[in-house]
Amino acid sequence: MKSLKEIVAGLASVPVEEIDAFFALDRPGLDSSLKRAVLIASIRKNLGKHCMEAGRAKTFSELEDAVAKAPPA
Amino acid sequence: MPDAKPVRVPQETVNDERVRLVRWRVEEGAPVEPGAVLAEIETSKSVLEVTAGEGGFLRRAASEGDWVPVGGVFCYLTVHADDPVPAAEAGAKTEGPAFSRKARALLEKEGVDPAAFSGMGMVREEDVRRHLASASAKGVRREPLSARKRSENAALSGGGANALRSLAALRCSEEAYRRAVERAPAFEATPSGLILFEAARTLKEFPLFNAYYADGDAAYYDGVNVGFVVDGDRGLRVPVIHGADSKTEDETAREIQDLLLAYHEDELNVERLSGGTFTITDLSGEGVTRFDPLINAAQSAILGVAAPEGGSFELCLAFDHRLHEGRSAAAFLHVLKSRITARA
Repeated sequence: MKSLKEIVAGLASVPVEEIDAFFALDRPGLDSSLKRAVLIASIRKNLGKHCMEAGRAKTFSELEDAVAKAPPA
Repeated sequence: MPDAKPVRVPQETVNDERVRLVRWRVEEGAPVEPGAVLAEIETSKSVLEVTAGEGGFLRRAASEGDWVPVGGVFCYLTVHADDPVPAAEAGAKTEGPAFSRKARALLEKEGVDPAAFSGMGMVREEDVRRHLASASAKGVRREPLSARKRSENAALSGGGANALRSLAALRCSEEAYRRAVERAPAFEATPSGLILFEAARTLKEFPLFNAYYADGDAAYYDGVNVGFVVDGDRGLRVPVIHGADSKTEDETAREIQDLLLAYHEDELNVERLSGGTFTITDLSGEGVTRFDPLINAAQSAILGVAAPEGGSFELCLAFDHRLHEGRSAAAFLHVLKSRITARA
């Protein structure tokens, strides 16, 4: 199971160490509908949360908040 | 030297000017019986055995690999092992490649320098044609296609090779589509999932679009399995949602997301990539405002979703005219459009 940071780092193709609260999720490469859908599915698969709001988060901090509030998958 | 009987290269094929001595089958100076195989020669058609017409001691006049004119002497048969043989005849071998008559004629017709074939043995007509083709293709670099692309081509060729392909397109309001997606939050991350969802239900109304042409018959599928084209880092793939007509919006949206994740992780297996009965391809993200998608094998239609232009976008339905007509394609599109915009 991957952590949220590992999921985002994998999608963004950057080292996990680069993922902090301010890490932008609307950057090129992460802003496609394919990547957003993959992010939602990966959160469901690895963290057991159904988080549609993940597709709207603009920073990692916002994403963490959304996942925390998301219902179980 | 009346006792040295020349053995000449037979005219096995009228196309050859000369042949190559491939291999001796008898040692120098060894006795041979009538009918014994003396050597193997290569003509433009094949490798042949040359046999002795009479007995004697074999005296070689050429070496393995030499080219010898047809009718030329390549060995002698002498009465005694040490009988002398004519020196002049032994020099019949020639240098450089040999050309079949057709190859020679083509060379002369096209003005090709025979030196272009130096290093070759027998040059045949097809060798000259290949040389001409490569010469005319200068400035072109050829690379073999990937296995994935070949596989993709095979699938698409299967659907399109014999189909009477036709295309019908219908414009759909961008605003109505946006509102419809807003009212179907499950598809927020994958808006075209809404089109897939409604297309699956439209297929239930138009089962012929969920069929394919088979030797004069319409082969109907029992299930509605809708594939959607993904073309990202992993190349072009068409994952399939099986039983798409019976899944809820949430189930459909989740399955699309799961399939996209499997694509991203390169874990799409055969089961998830096969069994499609209809396909949707979305090029709206690429800014393409109209296109004519290729029908997949064992299907009769594919729906293309184009990019908005002037406040609307096109739904492009490519179909096999052996099963459908423009009118039925238009009816399918109108129903699909109504199902989408009715949500707005």
